[in-house]
Amino acid sequence: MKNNYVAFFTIFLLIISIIPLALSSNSFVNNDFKDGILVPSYGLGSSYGINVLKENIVIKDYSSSVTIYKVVDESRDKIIKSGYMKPQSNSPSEEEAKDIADSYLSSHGGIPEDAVVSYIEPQYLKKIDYTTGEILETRSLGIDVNYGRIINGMQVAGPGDFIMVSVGGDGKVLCHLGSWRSLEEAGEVEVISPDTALSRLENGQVIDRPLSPIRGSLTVNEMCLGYYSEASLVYQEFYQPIWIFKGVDSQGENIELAVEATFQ
Amino acid sequence: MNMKIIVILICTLMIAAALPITTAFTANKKKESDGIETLADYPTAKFSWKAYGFSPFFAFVVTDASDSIDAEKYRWQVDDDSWSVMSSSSKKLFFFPDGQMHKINLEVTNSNGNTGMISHLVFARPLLKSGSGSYSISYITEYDWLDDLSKKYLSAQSTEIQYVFNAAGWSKEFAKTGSSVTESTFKNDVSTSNFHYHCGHGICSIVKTELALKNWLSTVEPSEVKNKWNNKCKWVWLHSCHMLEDCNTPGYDKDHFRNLWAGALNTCHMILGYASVTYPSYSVVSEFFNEALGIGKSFYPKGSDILSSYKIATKFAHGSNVKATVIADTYDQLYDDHLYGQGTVQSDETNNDNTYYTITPWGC
Repeated sequence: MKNNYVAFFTIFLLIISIIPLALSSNSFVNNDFKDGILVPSYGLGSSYGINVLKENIVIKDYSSSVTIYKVVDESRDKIIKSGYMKPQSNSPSEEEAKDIADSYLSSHGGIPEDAVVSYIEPQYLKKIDYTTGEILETRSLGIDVNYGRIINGMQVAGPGDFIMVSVGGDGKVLCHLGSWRSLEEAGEVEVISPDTALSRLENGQVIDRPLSPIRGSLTVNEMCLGYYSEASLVYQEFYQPIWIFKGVDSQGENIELAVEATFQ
Repeated sequence: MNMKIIVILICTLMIAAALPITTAFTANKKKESDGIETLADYPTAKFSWKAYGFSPFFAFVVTDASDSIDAEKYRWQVDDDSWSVMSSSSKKLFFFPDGQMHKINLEVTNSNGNTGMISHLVFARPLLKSGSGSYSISYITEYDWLDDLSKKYLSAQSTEIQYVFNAAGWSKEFAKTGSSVTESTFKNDVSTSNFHYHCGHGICSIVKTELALKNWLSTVEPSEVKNKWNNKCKWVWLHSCHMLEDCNTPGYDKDHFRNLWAGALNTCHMILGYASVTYPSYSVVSEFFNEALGIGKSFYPKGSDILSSYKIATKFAHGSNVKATVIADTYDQLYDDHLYGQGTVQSDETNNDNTYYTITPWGC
C-alpha cells in the first residue's frame, strides 16, 4: 500500500513539474513579469507589445509637424486583356518594361504627380515535382511594373494608392490595375516624437496586425514619417501621418509596421 | 501521521503553488481582451443588402444595418449625393434606374456621439443565381497562446463570404470558428465542400509552414492533409501568413513550403495563399468575389477565372509588403477554373503525376 502512495505521489510530482515546463518550453514564448503578472511575450503582433531592438535606428526626415490631406476624389482602373498571366514569348527586359509602362500610362490619363516606380517584378510560371522538388518547366508570364506614392518625400503605406502595369510578350500591355486618391492640403498637424512612436510600437499599437505570430524580436533599422492609405473603395476622409518602421525579425524577414503619428 | 495524509497535504500545497501561474495566464488573457475592448466606445457600422429588380436596367436595393453594434442613428449616402439621416430605422430602400454599381456609405452614431462608418459597393441588379456549388468557412479570432485577432474584421469577412455565396445560389456546408476549428476540419471537413475559406494565424518554422489552431499546441501541418483534400473539394483559400512562402532555409528548395502543401491537392484544384505576412482584410474577400462572381459587370455578368480574381483582389486590397501566390494541380485548372456558374471548371487530375503549377509570388 505504501508503495502505491509513493508511486501516486511520484506521478503527481511529474505532472505538476511538466505544466510550467510545457508553458515555458515553447520557443516562441519568452515569459516576463510586468507589474507582478507573468506575461508571455509573443513578439510581433502581440497584444502586449513587440520586442523591439532599437540600438541603431536611422530616423529619416523627422519634422514635428506635417501636412494633412483631405481626400477629394478616388479613381480606379481595371483593364485586363486576353493573355494576361499566361506564358509569353519575347518578354521585355525590366528596363524596357518600365519604359513601356511609363509610356502607356502617359497616353492613358497620365502618371500621377506623386507616383514613383516602387518595384518591378518578372513573373514566372513553374511546373514542379513536389516529391523531388525538381523544377520541370519555367515560363515567363511578363513583367509587372508597380508604382507607389510619395507625398512630399513621405511614403504612403497601405493598399489604397498603387498602379500596376503588366507588360507581356513583344511589349504588349496586358493588364492595368490602379487605385488612386486625389488629395488637397487640409492644414498642418503636430506629430509625436520618435521615442513616443517607438513606445507605441512596443505597446503593439500598430495599424495593421499581421495574421502570424512573431519570429522573435524586431530589429528596427529605420523609421520615417509617412501616410496611410486605406484600400480602394474604403471610405477615407483624410490622409493622416503615421510613423513607419522598417526592420527584420529574428529569422531575417523584412518587416514593415506603422503606428499613428498624431497625438491621440 | 499516516502516508495518505502526508501525500494529500503535499499535493494540496503543490496545487496551491501552481495556482498563481494559472491565474497569471488567465489575467493575461483578460488583459489582452481588455485591449481590444477599447474599441467598444465606438459603434460598429455593418449592413447587408439585397437587390430586387424586374429588368437589367433598374432595381430596388434594400439595405439592412440592424447588425450594427451600439448604433442609435443612421446616415446613408449613395455615391456623392447628400446624406440621408435616419434616427432609428436601420433599413432603407434605394431605387436605382440604371442597373449599375453604386457605392453606399453608412455612418452610425451612438449615444456618446461617436461614429463608425462602412462603405459597400452594391450592384443594383440582382446577383443571378447561377451556381450550384457548396462552400465552407473557418476562422479563429481567440488563441490560447498567440495574440488574438480582430473579431470585427474576421467576422465581417465571413459575413461577406456567406452573403455572396448565398446570393449566388451556393449552399453552406459549415462555418466554424474558435475551438470548433480542429485538425479534423482540415483533414476531413474541407472535403465536404467545393470552396473552403480559412482565416487565422499562420506560422513559418524552419522546415514547414503550418496553420495555428486555437490551442497552438495543435497545428495543421501540410503532412497531415497530404492527399486529404478530395471528394467535393476544389479550391481552398488559406488567408494566413506565410503558407506558400519561399523557403530560405539552407539545404532546402526555394519551393519547399509550396511543395509540401501541393501534396494536399487530390481532387482539390488550387490553393490560394500568401508568401509573406498578410492581414485581415474585408476588402480582399469582397474584391475576390466581386471579380469571381461577376458582380458589377454590365449586362450578362460572368465571373473571371479564379487565378485572375485572386490576383486582382490581392493587388487592390493589400499593401506592397504582402506577397501572394497560388498552387494548382494542373495547368488547365490554374488558368481555366471558375466558380461554378461562372464558366468552365476543369476536370480533376485523373492520374496523380506528383506535379503542380505555381506562379512567382507577386507583391500586392
